[in-house]
Amino acid sequence: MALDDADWRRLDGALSDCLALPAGEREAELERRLGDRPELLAAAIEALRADAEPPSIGSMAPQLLESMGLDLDRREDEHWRARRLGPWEIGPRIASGGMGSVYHGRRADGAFEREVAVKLLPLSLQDEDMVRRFEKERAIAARLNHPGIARLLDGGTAEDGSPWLVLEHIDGQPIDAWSDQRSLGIRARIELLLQVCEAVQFAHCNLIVHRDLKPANILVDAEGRVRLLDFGIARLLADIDPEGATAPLGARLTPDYAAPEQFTGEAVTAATDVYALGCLLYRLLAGRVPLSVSGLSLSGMLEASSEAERPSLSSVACAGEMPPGVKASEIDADLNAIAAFAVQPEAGRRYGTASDFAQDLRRWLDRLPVQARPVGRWRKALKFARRHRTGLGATVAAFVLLAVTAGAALYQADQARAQRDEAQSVASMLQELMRLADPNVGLGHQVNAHALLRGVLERALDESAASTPTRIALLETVADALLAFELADEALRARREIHRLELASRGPNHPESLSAQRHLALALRQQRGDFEATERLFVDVLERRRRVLGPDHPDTAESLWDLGFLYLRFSDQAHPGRERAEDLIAQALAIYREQLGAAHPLTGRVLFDLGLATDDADLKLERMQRGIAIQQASATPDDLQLLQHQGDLALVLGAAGRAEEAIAMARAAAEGYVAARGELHAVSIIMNNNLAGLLRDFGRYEEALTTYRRVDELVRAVVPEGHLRRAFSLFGQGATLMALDRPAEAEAPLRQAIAVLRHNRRDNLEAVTRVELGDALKALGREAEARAEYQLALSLWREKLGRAADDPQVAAVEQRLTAGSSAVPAVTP
Amino acid sequence: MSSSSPEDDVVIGELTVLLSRVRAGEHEAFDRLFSLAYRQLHRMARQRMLASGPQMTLDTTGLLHETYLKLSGGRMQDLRDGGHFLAVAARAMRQVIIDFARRRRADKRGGKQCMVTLDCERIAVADQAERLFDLDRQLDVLARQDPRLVQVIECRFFAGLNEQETAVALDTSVSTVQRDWVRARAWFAGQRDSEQTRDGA
Repeated sequence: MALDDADWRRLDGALSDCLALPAGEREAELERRLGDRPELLAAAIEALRADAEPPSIGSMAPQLLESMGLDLDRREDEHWRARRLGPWEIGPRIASGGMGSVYHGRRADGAFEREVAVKLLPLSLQDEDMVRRFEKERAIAARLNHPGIARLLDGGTAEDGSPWLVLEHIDGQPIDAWSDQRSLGIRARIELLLQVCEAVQFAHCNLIVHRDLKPANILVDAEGRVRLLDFGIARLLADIDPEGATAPLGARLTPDYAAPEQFTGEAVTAATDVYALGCLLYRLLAGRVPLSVSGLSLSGMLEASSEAERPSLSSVACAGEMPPGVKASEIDADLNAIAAFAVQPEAGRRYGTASDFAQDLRRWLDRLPVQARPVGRWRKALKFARRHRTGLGATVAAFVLLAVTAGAALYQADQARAQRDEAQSVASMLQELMRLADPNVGLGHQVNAHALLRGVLERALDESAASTPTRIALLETVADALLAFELADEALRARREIHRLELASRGPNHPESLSAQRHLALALRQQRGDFEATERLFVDVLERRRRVLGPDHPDTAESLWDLGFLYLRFSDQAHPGRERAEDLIAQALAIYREQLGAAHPLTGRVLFDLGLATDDADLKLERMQRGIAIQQASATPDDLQLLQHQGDLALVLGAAGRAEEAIAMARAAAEGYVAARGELHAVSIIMNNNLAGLLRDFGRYEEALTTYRRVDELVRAVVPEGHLRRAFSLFGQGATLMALDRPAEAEAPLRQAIAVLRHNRRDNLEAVTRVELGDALKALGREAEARAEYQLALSLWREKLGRAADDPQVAAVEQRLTAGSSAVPAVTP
Repeated sequence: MSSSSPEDDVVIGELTVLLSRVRAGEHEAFDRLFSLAYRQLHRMARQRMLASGPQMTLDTTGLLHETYLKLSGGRMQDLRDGGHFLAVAARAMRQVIIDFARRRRADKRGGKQCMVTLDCERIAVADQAERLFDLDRQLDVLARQDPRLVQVIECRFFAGLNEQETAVALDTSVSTVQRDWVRARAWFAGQRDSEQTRDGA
């Protein structure tokens, strides 16, 4: 009753052998081998002629499975057919995926003409965990508002509780097919890839890694614009989540574009996407990916993928047919070096970020030397430029000042990050840190980045943990991340330890020790710790650099600049150093002009800061504007430093009463920053807050209110309850509402602002806000409550801040208390 | 988070240990892992059924992945371990499906009513259940002649894994998976033909 062993061995032997032959010769071979056993021959031929796609349980027992509910798609289609989700009507299915099925969709009321893609969570997956993950995808998509990424249009929950997303439907063609069909030349192909990099970088800045970049997920529309799709398997860098564990199951990666760390299950970082972008460069310029592993066994993939080097772009190009429009001879040594740098098997040796990769491609297009293949002098200049820190904003009003200073800390963290040769973004490092962290902490929950960073700091401070160079490298990265997450005390601890280690191993005069000391001073300055100690550290670095490197060395100039800036921005009004600030920065400027040239962007930055230190209003503006012009000459449109300088200049213009110019410039700077870093980036938030302030200063209250409200929403999304930054948008709303004569609405935000300010012990700002609240209460006829607020403000000023009775703010409040209901002068913050 | 009864709790890290022991060929480890996977799959499938009534659907691959997540407590494992887990879980999935079919047949024959079953009047169900039982029995026969082909069928047919995933699960290449599928078809065809020959004789 069964196929016996001998028969099976014969059948199997003949079949296995013939499968090694070309398809056309198989049946003849089978006939030769099994001709004497027609039933075995028939079985073998039947098996050979099998359909390409083998049946699964669904096709073998459809009705049973239907009763068991295993035929997923059809059930689902029926479930959704002709249904409506909010205003959206569901059409035919486009695709099925692990994390959801995608349908065509259209707005039922015709309010939105274009076709959309509706993504639904499969019915079979609707339990709590999956709904949570789907919601996370929605949160990810909501963060990714970028022209190069398919946009989230809408989202909600159906009446049965299942979540849905409406995404922009992209009518386009995969990037490889698009390029080949049009026989694009090498430059046009690189331009397309640059668009991809920009979108990827945007996602990284929002702490999101795509993890599955490949031509099928990168469409080009009729206008030649690139759009990224499918962040369905994307991962937030900032949390540990069970979702991460699905990757090792092999279902959700594309082997030919997957980085080695995806096969081994090691940490996925921003560099993982860089690897895929490198593969895409190979595909677009040479016609093939550097290493094709599809079809290999898992062990084979692992082995091939971790092998040392990928073949060069040129050798891949020469080994096969070139894509139409590209000639192998156009690929030079620089381009080979860029490609090789992007697809390094070891994540730490690749470009750290998509924008580093893009920058090199751009330099190649401009025929400039590339980072992947450095040339002596240029490399030095680059290193120096990257090492450099930025200037800060202008003094206009207390609120604005504080906001700008907080933002500068973040910007400096960005700069410091770019400094290392093996630059890794905070984002990608964070992911590394996750790996080090105890996995039990993250069990199914989002992990607080602060807790994690603190944990890693403790590890890095542990002397037995690693060798000194490793600890220094780790500490530097952690210090940057800590600063980016505004943990100034912890950043200071890390910087102290680095300084100690450098001193112990290299002595006090080594340039690395001096650089460590400078960073320690920067951290101390940021933490607003002991001013004298900070000053001593900066002065000491300056003196040693003068001695060791010489008085005209750019590093010496950097120290002059540091010190000048410290006096300018961080000293008390009465501090004697304040008067020296302009002179110190001018000395630094002279050295930069001499050493780097008048047109060098760093020279422009110092000139800008010199403008900040200048008292004369006209000269101040002129210096700032010239400083910006020099930077503009060599900058890309998304140069963050430049945008921040423009934001600062807007404030100075505002202070000079030049309303239209100030508002236009503040708006442009804020928009530029949002485009480059996303709306949630701290500096973006601060710039928008400052824009709102200018709008309010110049009487455009309605616009100001809208902007403040938006800022408040964003702030709430990114900082913890009670964070000082919230006070700015809350106070702004309250004061603007007062200006609009809407005291009833002003009360709540003002009270919230006071709570935040008390929590942060900002006595002066608290007093100012209490006066504003008093005015609101008075306007509402709540005289007694109003007087109580005025009294509280006065006691803050007098007792905590030692203000005298003739202080103009104190006098203005006194007048309120005595004047009763008569008109009173405003108290400005 | 769904709750789990104490006997199903996996000690933290146990999955990793079990998987490495399975890899080393230990039968006890396989049995333990199989029963963990079976209970988890079965419970989740039942939950789905209870939750969605007659509309119930099951996505076998999704269930497998989720089972892995539950058992591993969401921790990252080596890709290889993930693969081995899939192979074991595919076997468990086969058992879950056969058990469903068995209960369905019992319902049809007037056995215990399943509280959520509203489709007892569906006529063809029992026939299909019979076909699944046949398949299950034949796989036991095949296991004696070529256990590897059984694994391919469990992964592809019962667990609904694609070629790539199956290759990962069995730590082999996609082309081997494709070849094994053709061989398995030949075995079934040969089996059927030899039975017919015998019946006819």
